[in-house]
Amino acid sequence: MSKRIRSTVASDQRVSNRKRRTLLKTGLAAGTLGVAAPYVFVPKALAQRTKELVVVHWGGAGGDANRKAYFEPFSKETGIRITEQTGPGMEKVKAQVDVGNVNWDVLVDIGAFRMFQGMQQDLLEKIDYNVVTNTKDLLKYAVQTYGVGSNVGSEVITFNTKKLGSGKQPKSWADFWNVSGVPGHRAMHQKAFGNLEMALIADGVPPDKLYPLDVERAFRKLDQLKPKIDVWTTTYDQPIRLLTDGEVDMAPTWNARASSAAEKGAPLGVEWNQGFLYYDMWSVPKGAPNAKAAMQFINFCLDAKRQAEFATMYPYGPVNTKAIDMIPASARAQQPTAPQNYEKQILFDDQWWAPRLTSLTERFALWTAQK
Amino acid sequence: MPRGADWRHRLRRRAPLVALLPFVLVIVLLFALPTLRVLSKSVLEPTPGLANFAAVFANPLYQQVFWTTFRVSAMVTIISIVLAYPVARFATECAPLTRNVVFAIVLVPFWTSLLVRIYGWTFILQRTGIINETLQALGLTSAPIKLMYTEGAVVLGITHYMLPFMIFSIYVALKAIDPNLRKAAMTMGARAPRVFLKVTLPLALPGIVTGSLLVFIGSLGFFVTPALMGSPRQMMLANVITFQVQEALDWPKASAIATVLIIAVSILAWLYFRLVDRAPRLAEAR
Repeated sequence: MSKRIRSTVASDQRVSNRKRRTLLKTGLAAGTLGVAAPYVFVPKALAQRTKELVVVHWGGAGGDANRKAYFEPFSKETGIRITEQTGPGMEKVKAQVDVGNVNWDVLVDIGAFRMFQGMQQDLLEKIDYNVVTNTKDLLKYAVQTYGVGSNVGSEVITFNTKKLGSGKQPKSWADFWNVSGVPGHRAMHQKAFGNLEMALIADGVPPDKLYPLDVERAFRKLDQLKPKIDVWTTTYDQPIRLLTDGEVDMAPTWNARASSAAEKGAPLGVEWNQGFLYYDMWSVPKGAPNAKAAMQFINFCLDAKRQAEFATMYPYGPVNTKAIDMIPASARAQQPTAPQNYEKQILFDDQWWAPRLTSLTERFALWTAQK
Repeated sequence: MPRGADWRHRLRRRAPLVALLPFVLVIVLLFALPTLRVLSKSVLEPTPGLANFAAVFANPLYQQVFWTTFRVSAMVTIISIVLAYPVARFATECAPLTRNVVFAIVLVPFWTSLLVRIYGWTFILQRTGIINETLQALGLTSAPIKLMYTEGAVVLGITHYMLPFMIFSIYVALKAIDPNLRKAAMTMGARAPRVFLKVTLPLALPGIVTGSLLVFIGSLGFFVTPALMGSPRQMMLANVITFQVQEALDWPKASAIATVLIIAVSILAWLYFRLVDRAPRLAEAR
């Protein structure tokens, strides 16, 4: 989920570059050219290739960690060459599947709700659990019909430690809603998923009774906080920047982004209590040219040692429960799946969201757009 | 005409059309056909009919977004005219060296990444930004003024990007005006405001109209600026189209929104071009 935004920012850039070139068409460009491109530019898929695997990841620090922990060791062991591409958006998978010209083999770290969305639209291959056999020690939720968990992140309350140090910080979503008891400027992300859960937990719904969500109750609770939200953020690095600048004092953010900013000296603190755990997945597009090697690759990555290596470089939690003990103690404290953090958090239910994502996101957008 | 010369004559007459061919091919193959294919989704999928349009028009979110998009674009256009005219006028009248400096000042920010410029504006406008810190330090205000995440911020951000289009359109029109016309008007006893209203402005009008068309249509497609400088109340069409394409995977609905936008823009462009055609006659009438 948190990684998804890189593609959005990248497409922002594409839109702005295109603007210069096709000035008069700009009005149409955002909607049409981007969608139309795959029909025209994608060459016919090469004939069956078995010695090459096309993996698509989100780039950046997460992409680097993926390369070192998974891609390079896999190539070395199997002799299968890995070709990397960035931006595994489900809309691009849809474009490839719709025209029967699939070029990708493995989608890396796609949000679990995207995996369920792809499943509903028939865009993904079933995982072949005859090949993917390293599943014994995996967290239960990681094993799905159309995807396998790659890592676990958490959407956590994050605060500026200069403004809200030593006891003044919000310790729960109820605190985040309590604007008089826990004063400070607040930002929230403009999205329905997660925010409805935060509202219900703040309203006193016990975590084990959270799903199915009481949507009406959630919006009523959000109504109370709406006038106190200073900034509705739209990109995933925006809340980190706002918190670092002191423009806002608290906001929900994503743990790996918060801790890597803190490592670089940003005054950010994370409250693990009531964080929302979400899974990123490996999936295989329907009709992938080298689906067999894709399954082999996924199985390779589930190995505890590989998982520990990835998590040490990039603080998203391993899905292999054996991996957590192999991570150095200092890095373990930043892991959502470290036992002391894991038990304080709540599992985000992507399966509940997948069929409702569009209608609830539209409703949420309308709600934020109105006074 | 002798028969033998006929084909040569015909070829000469059609040469401009032949020269257009590569351009037409590129536009048809790489833009028109894919665009039509995408737009046709709005009436063909999931079932043939106008259901996607009905859904778009019935949802108050899209009504508001259409209205916001056109309102913001109109404000950007008007502000651009007001800001660009003096710059263009100055550039037509100053020494060539000064003019090059003016153009450099106009163009250099234009080559800066849109994101970088947005971050620049953020540091200036936000609650803890330069303007608010300065005002408070001087004791002019006691609390920060909300400048960022407003419609004003979005209009400012887009205007900053679109302004060069207006400046150059007006500059070209002003440059083409024979300076003797103004002198003649003044010789006949017209004062400066009257010369401006009766001579310069009517002749500059085609440039202003062309600039407005470029700026208005360009502004309709903005995506990053409303997302990063506005609040959810400034959501624009490109933002909801992107949402339908990337998040909802509902391409028929995205096509419906894009189709409505294209039709609205086509009507506006037609009206504008009519205005351009009639502008010189308007000038003559005076």
